[in-house]
Order: sequence, then C-alpha cells, then structure tokens
Amino acid sequence: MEPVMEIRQVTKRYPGGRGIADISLSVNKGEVWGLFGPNGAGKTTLLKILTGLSLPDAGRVSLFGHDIAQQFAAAMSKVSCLIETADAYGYMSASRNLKLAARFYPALPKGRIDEVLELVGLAEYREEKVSRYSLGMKQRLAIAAALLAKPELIILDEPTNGLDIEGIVWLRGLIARLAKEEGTTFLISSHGIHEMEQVCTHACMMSAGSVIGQGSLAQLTGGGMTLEAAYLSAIQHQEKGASIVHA
Amino acid sequence: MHSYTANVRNEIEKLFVQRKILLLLVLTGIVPVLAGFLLGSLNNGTGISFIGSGGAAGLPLLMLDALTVLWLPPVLFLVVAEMFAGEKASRTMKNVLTRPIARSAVYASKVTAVAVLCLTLLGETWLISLLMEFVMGLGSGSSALGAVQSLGIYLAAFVPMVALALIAVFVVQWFGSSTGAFLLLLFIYLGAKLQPFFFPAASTWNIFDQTDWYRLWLATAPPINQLVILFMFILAHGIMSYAAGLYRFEKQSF
Repeated sequence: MEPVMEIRQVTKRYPGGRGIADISLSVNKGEVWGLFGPNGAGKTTLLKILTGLSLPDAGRVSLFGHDIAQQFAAAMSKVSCLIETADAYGYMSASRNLKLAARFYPALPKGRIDEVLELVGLAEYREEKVSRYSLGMKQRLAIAAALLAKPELIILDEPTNGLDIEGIVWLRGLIARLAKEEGTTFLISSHGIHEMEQVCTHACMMSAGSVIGQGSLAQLTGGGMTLEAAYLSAIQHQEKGASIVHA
Repeated sequence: MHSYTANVRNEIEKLFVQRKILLLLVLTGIVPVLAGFLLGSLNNGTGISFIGSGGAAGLPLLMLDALTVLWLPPVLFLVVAEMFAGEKASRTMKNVLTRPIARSAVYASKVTAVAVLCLTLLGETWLISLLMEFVMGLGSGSSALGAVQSLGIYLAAFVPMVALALIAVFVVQWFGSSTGAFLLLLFIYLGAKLQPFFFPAASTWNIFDQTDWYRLWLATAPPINQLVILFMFILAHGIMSYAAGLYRFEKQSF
C-alpha cells in the first residue's frame, strides 16, 4: 500500500536541547493515527514540520509522494490541518474566513462553505465576526476550515481544546465517520490517551522528543492492555534504551 | 500561479475590510480636499497666488510631496508590520502557510497587496487633488500640471515607495510583533531623512533621500542619464530587499 505520509529520520533541535530526534513514521490511507505523549514530548514540533510551518534540521517528509521541502504546494494539495491553536481572522466573519481558504481550491463545489458550517454547527453564526466567538466556536471554525477542501489527510493538533463534552463526542464521531465512509486518513495529536483510544486505529507514542512505540492499537496493547498501560510499558522500555515498533 | 493569485485576492481583501485601512483611505482623501479649500480661499482672499499661476506647480504635486514624505511611508510601514510580524504574533500566518501554496508565493502575494494599497493611495490622492484643483479654479495657472503629466509623476513616485515597502518587508522579518517592527521602521526612516542635514555628502547613497526622484520628470527635457542611474539605484535596493526578505521568510518557523 502506498503510504500517504512518510517521515524519515526527522530531527529538530531548539536552543536549550528541546526538540525531536530521529523520528520515522509511515501512515497509510484510511488509518487514524494518534500521536500521544506528555507536554513537551515533541508532538507539536513534529506536526509543524509535517505541515511546513517549521523546517527540520535533518530528515525528510513526503505527503502523497511529494517531498514537502521540494514540492510543498503539491504535497499539501490533499492535506488540511489544525496546528496548535484555532486562529482565524477576528475582524472577519466565519464565512469570509472560509471564503479565503476556499480560494486555494478551485474545484471546490459551490455551497461547500455552507455545508461545513452546517456540519460544525456554526451556520447560525456564519456572519458574526470571529472575534466575538467563544473558544469552542473558534475551534469548530478551525475544524470547518480543515474539512473544507475534503482533504484525504487531516492533521489535527489537540483538536478537542475548547470543546465541551458534547463537542468532543461529536468530533470523535465525525473522525470515525470520515475515516470509514470516505477513507480519510488522520493524524491526531493529543495528551488525552483515553479520549483518542476510542477513535484511533494506530498510535505513535512519544516521550522527550523520541518515538517510544508505534503500530496498530492491537499490536501496542497486545489485545489486553489499555493504551495507557502500553504507554507506561513503552516508557519503561525507553529507560532501558529500546522502543516498541510494530511495522 | 493559481495559488499566488488566490492569495493576492485574499491579502487585498484582508487589507480592505480592516477598519484602520478604511480610515487611512478616508484620511488620505480628506487632506487634498482641505488643502484645496485652504489654498483656494487664500488665493482668492489675499490675491496672492499660493498655488497655480506663479505659485507652486499645482495641487497634485504639492500633495504628492507631502504624501511621499509624511504620509505614505509610515502607512506602508504600518501595513507591512501588520502583514508579516502582526500575523506571526496573532498566529494567523499559519492559515495561509498550511494551504497548497509555496512560501515564496505567499511572500510575493503579500508584497503585491502592499503595492496595490500603495497604488490605491497614490491614485486616490491624484484624483482628489486634480478634482479639487478644478473645483477651486487652481489649475488654470501656467505652472499647474496637466492631468496626464501629473498622473505620470504619480506613477514615477510609486517606484521609490514600493522600494521603501520592500525594505520594510525585509526589516520586519526579524520581528515577532508589529508594534516593535513599526517603531523601528519609523526610527530608521526618521534617521535616514535627517541624515542629509548632518552628512550631506553621503545622501546620494541614501535611498530614503531619493524618494522625490519623480521631480526629475518635471523638467521640460528630463535628464535621461540621471533618471536611469537613479532608477537603477532604487531598483537595486528593491531587488536586494525583496531577495533578503524572502530568504529570511522562508527560513522562519511559525
């Protein structure tokens, strides 16, 4: 199977020693990957490199067969993301924000903006300025922007931030539905293991800038463990200098 | 190319829906109106020709002098600081950087939007000045410029203004907030404008002191050699600033 995303030995170091080292990961079509780890594990750093917001010191990333360092526009043509925080232009309405994003996709069907606003529950507030939105509404708008172009790969960094319980359940359902019905691939970063365990098919566990385990949920949990227990076990392995990788 | 034009449209739309930009447009339009009324009433009231016949070379040129020294550079600095450092600080820059568009195209489209704004402000001032000159009867004097010549002069003024904007684009790449970037640009501009008073010999190398090159076009027979040399000087500054700014923009993390 042709991987939609290939990360090869990516390293990024910040002054002070923080960062990520030697990360490799391959994601296939239709898989839902969870990127787990505590704060400072390097999840956002990795996602920023994947989406071109940050340049790696070493290694390469390709999306749909296109190297992001060489063919960024082609690599991102089927990719959408929500990185770190949901930041739209506050002086514009939700629909105008989405209109700006829609211009990058000439084949987008008419009415798609209304469709995604309806989907995330913001249709009623579409002409309201985003600066007046609550945190949860801004997060929903960012999710709408990520869904707008019907991407084949969606990268989400802490997507449940600011969402209430109802919103979290809705998002989980949406991810599961898109993965199942449309074959959308997801890479979702979260430090809430329980939350994502319910929706992910695969997991990549990170600690202190390194991958300490990766594979399908069944492989990582051995059928009996919870993902949390698998993570703690991987931490113990890391302390012994090993990582758990299921190809 | 599609992504570039899409983002040019986006950047222009983002500019022209902001209240502060609309306010700047209104203020830019008000100044020639007030100046037209003031100079018109002075001409009529005192009998002394402040403008038009025997006075300054027409309202459009008078306004252009004021615009290119006092108004347009700070406005361009403000817009450039907001467009780059401001969007970095508000983390909205990633909205475009994570779309299918190369960073070089994002950079080019932002610069294009700044140039469009610059052209809009120049065009607005030219048109209103010309209308005021006509309405107040200031344009009949022998020294007043005709519509076509004054338009040409305004287009010539566009060249150094874009070069200043490109220098500003280069400088703001080192900033994470628009306020700091804007203040530094103002200090640089002020210093560069004062430099000829202290070191006149060095002023030929000062790009900020060459922004009135459009005045060379006022001569009946424009000095071609000087025009070409000055144009190349301004162009070189523009190209160097564009390239250096792009290099820095492409290497940044957002």
